[in-house]
Amino acid sequence: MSRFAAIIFDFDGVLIESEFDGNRQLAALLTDLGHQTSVEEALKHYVGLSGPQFVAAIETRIGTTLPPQFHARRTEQTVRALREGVAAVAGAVDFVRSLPQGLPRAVASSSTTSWIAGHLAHLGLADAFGSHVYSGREHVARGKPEPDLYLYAADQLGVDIAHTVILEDSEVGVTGALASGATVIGLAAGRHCFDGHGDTLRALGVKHIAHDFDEVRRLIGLD
Amino acid sequence: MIAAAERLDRIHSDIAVAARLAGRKPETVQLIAVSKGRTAEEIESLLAAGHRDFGENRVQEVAAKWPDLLAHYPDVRLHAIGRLQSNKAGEALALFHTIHSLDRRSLLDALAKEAVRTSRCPGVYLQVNIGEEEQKGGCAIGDIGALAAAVRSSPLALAGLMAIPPLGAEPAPYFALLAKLARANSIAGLSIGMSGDFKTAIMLGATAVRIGTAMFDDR
Repeated sequence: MSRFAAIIFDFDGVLIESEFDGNRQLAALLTDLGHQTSVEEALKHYVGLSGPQFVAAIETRIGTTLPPQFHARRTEQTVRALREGVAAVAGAVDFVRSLPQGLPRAVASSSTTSWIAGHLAHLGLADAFGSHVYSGREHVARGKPEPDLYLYAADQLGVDIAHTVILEDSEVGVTGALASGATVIGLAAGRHCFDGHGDTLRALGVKHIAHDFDEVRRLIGLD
Repeated sequence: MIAAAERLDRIHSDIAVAARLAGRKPETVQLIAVSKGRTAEEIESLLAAGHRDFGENRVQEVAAKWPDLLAHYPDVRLHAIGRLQSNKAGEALALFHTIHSLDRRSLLDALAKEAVRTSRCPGVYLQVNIGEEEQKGGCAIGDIGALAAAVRSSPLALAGLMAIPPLGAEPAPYFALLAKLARANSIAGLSIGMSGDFKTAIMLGATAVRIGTAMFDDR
């Protein structure tokens, strides 16, 4: 049994490869609209954000307001991804399925619950988290990088955040996760994690970095 | 040896990245170079590179080091970042543009009295003992409301809350707690974050970061 009382997963980039796929599409869309953006730039500047913060980050960077067609085409991309599914991060599905039955677990993500539930179903994990799927847009007033969503998730699981481990992949995510007081594992397993991703997370104070789910398993004492 | 201008550029760039990650405008974050213990020559290299906000913690050191520099760069803003004695209130008011270490009523009274006498009204941050450490300066968390109210009814301007997390502890939970306390008391500014943790501080709401090592030393 793990030395933790519960495990909380970020979703995009931790369980599914949507960070890489989504930012490739985002980069193409911004470039199309006249704001030359590479997938690396999109990943560096917009990962882990959602809603108004996501839009504000882009608008601040490009120095202008995004046109209505940006939002329309983002919606199209999202609908298509949700219909067709997105690949799982290598090892993620087996890892979730192999968690000890009595270990409370939740998803705490900046995405909507319908996005998370849809993709969990694609992955065959529809029931893996029960009702413990939490969205920074729906369940708290202040999403990541504030710690509120993780605190809310731990509260709903009935566990002390200090005895909880959180798997996060983004700078925004690990900042909120560290601020919550949980143990944080920086997961650099997704295709969006280029060389140096672990160092970037370490520089923000993350003490444990895992490059795949076998490392996660060892770090949380599941072996 | 990396030139001061290059170090400054790097830090501004790091600040911009962190601010944008949190959907904030980089210009909402004030960069303060902690120049306590630094020579006039070291400071001048940053002044020449265009930097104007500096943090000092001792009135005597400022009085000895800064007059010549201020004569050449009159638009410099000096920030008091160390514990201030009430009997130095007059000198502090004359030297500092902003005080980041207001932690008790007696100091507020002394500063307010001098402010009335001299018509100089610096901005003040309330320093909060966020880790509830016995040896650390800062007001108790429970005293923020009363002290903020006292500042608001004084001639001084309430700039925000300032804190230094316990040494060796993960700073993020303390930054988040200070931000929450600021919101609860309708206080806008947050002076948090130093060389090792300013990106975290900015993502959690810092409006002023106090950076020494990374501003003056090669990394």
